[in-house]
Amino acid sequence: MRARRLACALLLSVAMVAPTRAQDGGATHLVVITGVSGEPRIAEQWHGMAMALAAAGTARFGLGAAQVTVLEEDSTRDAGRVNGRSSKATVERVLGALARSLTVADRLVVVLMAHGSMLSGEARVNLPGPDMSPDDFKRVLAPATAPTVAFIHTGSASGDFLAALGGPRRIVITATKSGREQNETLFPGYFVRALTTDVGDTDKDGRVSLLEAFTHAQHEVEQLFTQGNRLPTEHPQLADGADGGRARSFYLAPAGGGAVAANPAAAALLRDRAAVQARIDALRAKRGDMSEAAYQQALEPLIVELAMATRALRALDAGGKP
Amino acid sequence: MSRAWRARRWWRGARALAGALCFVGTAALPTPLRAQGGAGDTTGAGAAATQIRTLADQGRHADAMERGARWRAVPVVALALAPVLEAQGRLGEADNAYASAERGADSLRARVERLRLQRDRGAGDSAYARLERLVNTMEGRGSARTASEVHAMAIATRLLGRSDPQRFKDALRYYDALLALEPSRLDAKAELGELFLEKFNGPDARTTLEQVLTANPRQPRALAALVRLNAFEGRRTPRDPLQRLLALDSANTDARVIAARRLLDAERYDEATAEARRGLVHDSTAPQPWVVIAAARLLAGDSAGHRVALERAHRRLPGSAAAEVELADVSARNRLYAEAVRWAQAGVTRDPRDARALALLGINQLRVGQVVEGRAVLERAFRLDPYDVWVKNTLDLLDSYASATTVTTTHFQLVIEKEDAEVMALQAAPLAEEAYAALTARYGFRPTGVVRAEFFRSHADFSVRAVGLAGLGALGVAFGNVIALDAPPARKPGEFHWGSVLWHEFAHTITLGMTDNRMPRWVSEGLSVYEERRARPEWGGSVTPMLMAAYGAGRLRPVSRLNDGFVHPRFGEETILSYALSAYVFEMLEERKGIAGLRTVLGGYREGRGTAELMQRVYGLAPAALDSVFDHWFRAKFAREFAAVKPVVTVGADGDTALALGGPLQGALEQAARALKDRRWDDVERSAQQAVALFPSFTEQGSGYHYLLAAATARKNAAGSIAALKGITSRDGDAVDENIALAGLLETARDSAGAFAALERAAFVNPFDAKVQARLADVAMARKAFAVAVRARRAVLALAPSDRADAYYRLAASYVALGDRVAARREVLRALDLAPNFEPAQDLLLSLRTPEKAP
Repeated sequence: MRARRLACALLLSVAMVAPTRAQDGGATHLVVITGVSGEPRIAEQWHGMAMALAAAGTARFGLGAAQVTVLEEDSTRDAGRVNGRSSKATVERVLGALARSLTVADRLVVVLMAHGSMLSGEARVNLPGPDMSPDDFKRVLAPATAPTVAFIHTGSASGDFLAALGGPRRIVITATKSGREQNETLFPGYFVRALTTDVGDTDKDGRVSLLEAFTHAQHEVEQLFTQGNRLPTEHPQLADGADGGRARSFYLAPAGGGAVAANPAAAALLRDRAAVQARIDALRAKRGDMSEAAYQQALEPLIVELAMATRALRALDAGGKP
Repeated sequence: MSRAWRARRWWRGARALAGALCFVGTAALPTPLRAQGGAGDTTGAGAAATQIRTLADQGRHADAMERGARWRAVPVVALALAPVLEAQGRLGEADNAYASAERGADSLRARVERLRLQRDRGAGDSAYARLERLVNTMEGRGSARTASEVHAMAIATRLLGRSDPQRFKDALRYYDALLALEPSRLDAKAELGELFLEKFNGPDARTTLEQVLTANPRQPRALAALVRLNAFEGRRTPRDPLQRLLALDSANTDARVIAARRLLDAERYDEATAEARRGLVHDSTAPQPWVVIAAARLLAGDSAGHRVALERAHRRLPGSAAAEVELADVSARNRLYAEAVRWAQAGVTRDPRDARALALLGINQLRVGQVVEGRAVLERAFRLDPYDVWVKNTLDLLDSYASATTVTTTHFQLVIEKEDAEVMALQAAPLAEEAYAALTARYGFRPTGVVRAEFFRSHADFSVRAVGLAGLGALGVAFGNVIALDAPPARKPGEFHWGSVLWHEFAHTITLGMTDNRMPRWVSEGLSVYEERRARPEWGGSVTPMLMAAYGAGRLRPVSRLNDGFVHPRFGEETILSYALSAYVFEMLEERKGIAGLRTVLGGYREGRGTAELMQRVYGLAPAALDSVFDHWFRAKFAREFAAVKPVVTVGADGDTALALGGPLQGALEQAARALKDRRWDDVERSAQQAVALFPSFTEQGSGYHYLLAAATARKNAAGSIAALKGITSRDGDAVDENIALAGLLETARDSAGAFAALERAAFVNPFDAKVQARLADVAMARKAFAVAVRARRAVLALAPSDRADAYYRLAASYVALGDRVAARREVLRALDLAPNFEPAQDLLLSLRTPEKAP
C-alpha cells in the first residue's frame, strides 16, 4: 500500500505543489538540537527522535548528508551520526553559518528537543553549558532574511520563542503557549512521528506538511489530556504570518513527477485532475451557504471524476493506457 | 442568575463568614463597655442566675426553678429562668419572665429573646418587623453599648439573616465583639459554632465548638452542635458527643431527637419513636420530638400515629416549615424522593421564605426528574441563603451540565456530557435496553415513563448531583427513575466498570419502583449487587478474603441486622463488605423460592410490611432462623474459602480493633512473594498455584494469579501468562489492562476468538481508548464480526482521531462488510471530502457505484 501511495504521490504532486516549486528548487537544511536531558530516559527519547529525524532527512526527505546536522548533549554517543555537542557556541556557529549562506530558494529547518525554563522573566533553552534565550536565536538567525526558516521548539517553556522568532518567511512552532508551561512536554514524540511516517498525512497526498505534522501532534496531545480527564499542561502553537498557509505548503519531502509530466497523456490527465481539484475547492468555498445534503450531492460527482482520473493515471504509470 | 455572579456572591459570603472574626468589632463598638449579668456579677441574684443556668444545663429544671424562686422578679434572674420555662413548654410564663427581664440591665437581650419566643409562638411577621426596627434603631444610634447589648444584637441579626443573608455577617461581627470583650462566654461561643454550622462552614464550626468543649467538656449547646456537625460531615469521633450530652441530661431534648434521627436512618422506626418520646420528658409539647415521631410513624406506615404527631408538632410551630423540612429530609434519606418533594412543597406553602424548604424542594425535584422546576426553585433558595453550599454546588453543576447531550432509546434518556456522548451512547444504549429487558422480565415490573440516566465525566460533579457535596465514595445513585453515575473518564481505567454500575442502579429503579421506595437499604443494595452478578459473572465481585475474615470474626452484622452495616458501620470497610454479603442473602433466598419469592417480598414492602414479617411469611424464617439458615448456607457454599482464611484481630493503642488476614492463603501468598524476590520461579509458581486453588475468586493485586503472571512473564512463558490473565479477567470485570495484555498475547498465539473477546471486554470497560477500539475493529473484521467492527470504528471516529479521513474510510469498509452500502457510501464520501486524493477511498467509492453482484 505504501509503495503505491508514494508512486501516486509523485504523479499528483506535479500539479499540486506548483506554488512551492521555487522553494523546492533550493536546498533544505535540517538542524536537530537536543538539550540537557537531566535523566537517561529523556536522553534516550531525544536521541531516538533526533536519529529518526536525521534518518528521515536523507531517506525520506531526500537531503544530502551535509544538509543534515545533529547536535546533541552527548556528541560521543553516536559519533557517526551526531555532528557535535549542542553547546551554545556550537549552535551559534552552525546556525550562524547557515543563516549567512542560504539564499532565497533555500530553507532552514531547526528542531529543538530541550527543556526550557524561565530566568529573570526570560525564557531559556537548557543546553550543555550556557543556555540560549529567544534573543540569542533571533540574533544568530538574523542574517537569514532570504530563506524560509522553520524554527520548531518542542520542549517546555517554549511559548515565548513564538513572538521572538516570528517574522517574514518564518514558521515558528512551539510546544507550549508560554514560558510558564514548564512540565515535560508530550509534543515532540507526536511531532517527530508525524514528520517521519505517514500518520500525519491527513490529506493523503503522500507528503506531510509542517502544518499537518503540527496539527497531528497538537491533536494527539489534546486527546491525551482530554481522555485522561486531566488539565492540559502544554498548548502547542504555530505562527507563520499566514494563518497556517505557509506551514501548509511547507514540505520536507520533495515534490516529484517530472518524468511522468513529460508524458503528454499523463500531462493531460494531470491537467484534468487539477481542474477537478479546483472545482472541488470552489465547491468547498460555498459550503457554508449550502445544505449538507446539497453539498454532498454536488461533491460526489467531482470526487468520482477525480477518482477516475487517478485510476487512469495509475494505469498509465503501470504501463497501461489511461 | 449567572454562575459567575453566583460564585462572587457565594465567595463574598463564605469569605466573610470565615474571616469575620479577624476584623470585627472595632469601629462599630463605642466605649465604655462593661460586662453585665455574666460571670463577673457576684450579687446574690447574679449568683442565682449562674446557678440556674448550670442546673438547666443538667436538665434539673425543677431545681433551677426553685433556685430562682426567691429572685424571680429580679430581671437578671428572670432572664435566666425564662429559657428554663421555655424548655418545659411553659411559654406564657417564659414570655412574662422575659418581660420582667426587660426592666433590667439586660433589657435589650430580653426584648430580643422575647421577640424570638413570640416568633416561635406564631407571631412571626410582627416579631421580625420589630426585630428589624430594633436592630436599625440600635445601629442608627451608634451601636450597642454593653456586652449584653452586643449579645442581643448578635442574636437579633442572626434571626434576621433568614430574610437578609447579609445579616449573618453582622451577627458574626457582634459575636466577635462580644467574645473579644468576654472571651470566657462559652454560651456565646457555642452559638457562634451553631451559626457556622448553619451556614455550612464545617471547619470553623468545629474549631469554635472544640474551643468551647476544651474549656468545658459538658457544655450542652456545644455538644449538641458537635453531634449535628459530625452528622453533617459524615464523621465519627471516638467519644460520641451524643453520649456525653445524654450523660449530662438523660432527657435532653436535642440529644434524644438526634438519637431518634439516627434510628430513623437505620430504618428502626419503632425504636426511633420511643427514643423521640424520651425527649418529651421536660416538655411534652416540644415540637422537635413530635416532628421526629411524625417522621417515624410515616415511615412505619402508621398514618394515624403520623397525623397525631404532626398535629402536635404544628401546635408549637405555627407558620413554620420546620416539621415539613424534617419530613422532607427524612423522606429523601430513606429514598422516598417523591414524598420528599411533597413535604418540601408543603413546607414552602407554610413558609415561602424558608430557604431550607426551598433547597430540599429543588434538590428532590431534580432527583425525580423535574429538572426545570428544580432549578427555578434552587435559584429562589440561593437568593435567600447564598451560603448553602449544597444549593450553590447543584446550581453550578446544572450550569455546566446544560450542554449535555440526551440520547433517547426506547426506555431511556441517556444524558451524557457532550464530549463523551457519541462514544458512551454506542455502549450505554444497548446495555441499558438489555438491562431493561432482563430485569423487567425477571421482576415482572416496568417503570412508569422513561428512565433518565445521567453520566458524569467528573466524579465531583456526580457527587454533587447525588448529595450536593463533593466527596461521595459511591459510583452511582438511583433516585427511582433518575439514575446518576460516573462515566468512565471520571476515574482511572480499571477502577470500575460503568456498565455494572448502570446495571446495579437500574436494578434499584426496578426494586424501588416495585416497593414504592419502601424497602430497607440492605435489601435494595443486596438485590442490585446480586443482579450485577447475574448479568455478568465478572461483575459485582465475588467473595474476597477480607469478606471471609470479617464474617468469620463476627464483625459483620447477621442478616436480621444487616441494615446497620450500611447505615451505622462500626469499621471502615463494613459498608462495602455488607454490600457483598447482602447479595448472597438473595442468592440463597432465590434458591429457596425462586424469583417469585423475591417478588412477593418486594410486594410486601410496598404494602408497608417489615422484613421480619416478610421473611416469616414467604420463607417461614423468623429473624434468628434466617440468620442461622444463611450462616449455614454461606459457610457451606464457601467452605473452601473460609478454610483458606484465618482472621487476625489486632487491638490498637486507642483500643480500636483492626482485622488482618492470616491462614493458608496468606501463607501461600507470602511464600510466593519471598520466592519472587529471590527469582525462584518454580517456587513462585508452586505457591501461587496453591493460593489460586485455596481461593480461586481472589483476583485483586497481589493474588496468586498475579504471581503466576510475574513468573510466566519472567520466563517468557506466553501460555502461562495467558492462563494467569484469563484467571483474572474471567473473574474481574474491571480488569482493563489485563484484558489488553491478554489480547496481545492471544493475537500472537493466533487465538483470534480469545483476542476478540478480551478486546471486547477492554473496550467495554473503557470505551475511550482509541487504540483498543481500533484493535478491536481490526480483529472483528478478521472474525467477520462486522457489527462490532462498525461500532468500534464509530467509536474511533467519535474519539476525534487526527487522521479522520482514514477513520471514515475504515468505517466505510466495515459498513461494506456488514452489507450496508448506503452507510458505506456516506462515510467514504466523508473521507474523500477531507482528502480527495485518498486513493483507497476513491477505489472504494468507485466500487460502491457499481451495482452489487447477485450472490
